[in-house]
Amino acid sequence: MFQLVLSGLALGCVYCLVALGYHITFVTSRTLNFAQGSAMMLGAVTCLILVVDLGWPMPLAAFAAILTLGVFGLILEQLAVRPFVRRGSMAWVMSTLAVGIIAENLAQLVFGKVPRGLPSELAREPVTIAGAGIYPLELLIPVVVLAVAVGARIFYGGTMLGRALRATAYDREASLAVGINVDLMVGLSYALSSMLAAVGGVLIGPLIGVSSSMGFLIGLKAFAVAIVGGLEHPVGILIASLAFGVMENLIGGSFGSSVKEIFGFGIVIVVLFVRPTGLFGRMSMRRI
Amino acid sequence: MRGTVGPWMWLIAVVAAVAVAWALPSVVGRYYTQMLSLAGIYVIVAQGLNLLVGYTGQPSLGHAGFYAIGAYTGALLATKLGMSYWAALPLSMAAAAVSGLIIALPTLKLEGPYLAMVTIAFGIIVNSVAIEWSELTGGTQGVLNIPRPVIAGFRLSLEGQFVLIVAMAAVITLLLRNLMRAPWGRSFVAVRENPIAAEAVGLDTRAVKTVAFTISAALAGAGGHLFAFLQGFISPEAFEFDASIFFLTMVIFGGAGTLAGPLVGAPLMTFLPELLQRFVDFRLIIYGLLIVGSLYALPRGVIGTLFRRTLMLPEITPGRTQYAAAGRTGAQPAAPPGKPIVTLRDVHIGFGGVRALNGVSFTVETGTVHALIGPNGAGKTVLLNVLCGYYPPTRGEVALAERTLTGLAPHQVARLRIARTFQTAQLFGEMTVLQNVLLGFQGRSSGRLLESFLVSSRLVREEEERRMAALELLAFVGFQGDPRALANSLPFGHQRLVEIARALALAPSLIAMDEPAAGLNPREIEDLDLLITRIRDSGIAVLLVEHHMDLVMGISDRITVLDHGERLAEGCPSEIQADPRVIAAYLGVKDAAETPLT
Repeated sequence: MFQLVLSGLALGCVYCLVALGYHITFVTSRTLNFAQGSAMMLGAVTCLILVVDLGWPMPLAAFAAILTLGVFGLILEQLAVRPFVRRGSMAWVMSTLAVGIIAENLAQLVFGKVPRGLPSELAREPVTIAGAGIYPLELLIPVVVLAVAVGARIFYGGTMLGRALRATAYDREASLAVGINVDLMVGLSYALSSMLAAVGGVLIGPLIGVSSSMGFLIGLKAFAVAIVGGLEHPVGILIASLAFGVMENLIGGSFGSSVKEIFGFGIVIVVLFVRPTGLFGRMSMRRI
Repeated sequence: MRGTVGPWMWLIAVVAAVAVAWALPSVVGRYYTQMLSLAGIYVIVAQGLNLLVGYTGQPSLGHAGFYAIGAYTGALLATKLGMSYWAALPLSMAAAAVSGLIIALPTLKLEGPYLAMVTIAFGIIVNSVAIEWSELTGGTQGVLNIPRPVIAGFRLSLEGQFVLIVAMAAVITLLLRNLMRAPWGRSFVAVRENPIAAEAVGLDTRAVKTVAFTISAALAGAGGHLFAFLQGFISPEAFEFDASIFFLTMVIFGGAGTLAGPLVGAPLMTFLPELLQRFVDFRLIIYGLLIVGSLYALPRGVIGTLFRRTLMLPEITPGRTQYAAAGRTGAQPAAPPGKPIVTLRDVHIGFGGVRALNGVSFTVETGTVHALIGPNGAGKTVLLNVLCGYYPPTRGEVALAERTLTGLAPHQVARLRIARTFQTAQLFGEMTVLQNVLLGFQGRSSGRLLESFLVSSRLVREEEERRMAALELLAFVGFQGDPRALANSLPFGHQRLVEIARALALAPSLIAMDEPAAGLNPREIEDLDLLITRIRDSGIAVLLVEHHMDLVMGISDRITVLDHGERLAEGCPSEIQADPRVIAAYLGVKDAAETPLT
């Protein structure tokens, strides 16, 4: 039980990393990157290729994978989001989904269909805490998320770039007026969102195995927690992610995976019925 | 007489499609007949999805769920209860429709990504239930040995089913075309184009969305039913998230919001994987690239991009547009002047810490032009929004004669004959001028669905009457342009006039106008002056929010001045012009009493 809770928290943290990616692009550009799940998968796959096939040390490989995905995010925004937003069209929904499909199948071509394990020192021997066997990596994951949160705080509050990004999220027109390169900020938010997903992929890879299809469901669930927490509320997203991860583990542990999905997504519908803009979202008054 | 030839052309098209379907299997062989049958089924699903996504503008990333419910209902009724194909079909559609209704009702408040999430969740839940509830659904194995349909004692072959599917797809397309030509079609598109304006003409946007959801789900259910009987077996694999994306791609690729879009998109997407077969490993990569590429090159889909005209909503009698000589408003017989219509009592409203209205009371009387003036930020527009039901007041009451309006939704206020126009004209951009005004007449009710599907002769007659009335209104407001032009192509001044004509179509007892003179040139303002007078003389009271003082002082019978959310003064124009407090509020100085306010 305690073990399920602990590993649920770790899983929730990964959802949170991917979900924050939806949040970042949404606040800066009112668009969502539906290739988030694929970005997570690409992060894990890149890391695995570097570690296993090229023999890089893990930390360096992880770092390189995350940077690679930053570039991926920039390109994705340029090719599959910006042209459509400029036209005022919603086609970015389809185009980011399509990029996800392309990424998944490119990965399958390079990587093969069989899932492979990402070896990690931290996921070899479980340690025992209060009677619960748990991998050190599962304890590291929340620490990483905490570090990301603190890092984000410093970045947003203390650097010009971070403030510019926040200004863009707050008011696009005003940001343009004070000379912020809004296009660059939106591109940057896509890079950041893909990098966060890659962090999640690198972290969860050793625990669940790496395959080209690993990102799909996690990407969807991360979207679900982002919505339930409130797309514009990072703290709400964190809380929703952790709750969702723990709940999933508890239900999945006793009833199996289909029941887990039914409950998980059922709760999403119920929450939105009660709170149309997520648990922590505020209903904003329509401006007329 | 294009109006009467049209339906026959369509009927001929249906018969021709069925005839081709009859002949085709012997030419193309069994395998392609199967593929074509699937394409026909997808046409039905895509037409339904198009009604929701293309016409009504509501996202769905979970249509595979409705499709699955139709398929499982049909398959289980046939295999477990021995029910016939025909008896089960309406039940399959009903099961999907009911689930559409259930999913639509609690989610009507949701917008954009939040609504998309619910549809995703719904699709995944249906799929997971199909896997989990194995006693009923056969789990991952699915339902096997679904009998082939029987017609007049004959068991239908694949070729027979193909003809049946094509006939159904053609008839459904025809029925949907009728629906879109009827007032209902305008209601769907109005919700997509401008929800705020839709409410302002009295449309219950939630009801419209619910109807769209339900019809859309029923058609997906029909598709699922046909699919189950065509294949002879079903399993959960066919109903995963991918399938929802696949359906959406058909609609968008073909041309969302066009009737022909799904007819093209569904077969193309059915055969595309086939064409890509020889690329084996690269298949899905090319598929993805094609989606992105077509979104670039064909922003409105194949049909919408190549034939712009198909994006226009079809009409019942497109041939007979002509101007009426004399303009009338169709107002109620004029009430005796000087009776209160709308009374505001002690209205308060705040946003966060800002008190926008702080205990405002006044009465608008019949037969008057009542102006509401005040400096920027005084709360004038907020007051109109409270009056029309867009914002609920935190305290106080709005009353129409004896009836309270407080707590009513905007469309309910509009149905009580209180019309309004907006600071920036809120039109249905992708609809014609005429269709915009017609929506003003039908806000109360879009009509019976069955009558709309079949285009009854009564409906045609009513449309003709509405059309004449709309043209008269356009003449009344002095609109000189083409009533068949798209609203978003109009010059600014014309947009204003169309919006006023649409508001008058509600046959209002009061029309609230928010800065109608803003952005107009002096000649247009002169015309507006005359128009407002004509409106008042026809028995409609006018509540006018306006900054243009010449206009206000010239035509108002009574003026209320707001400042910082409070009523500063009220009286006839000469009293207001002489009031030192008003002058101070406008000029921001206390001792400006000598400066005349013009």
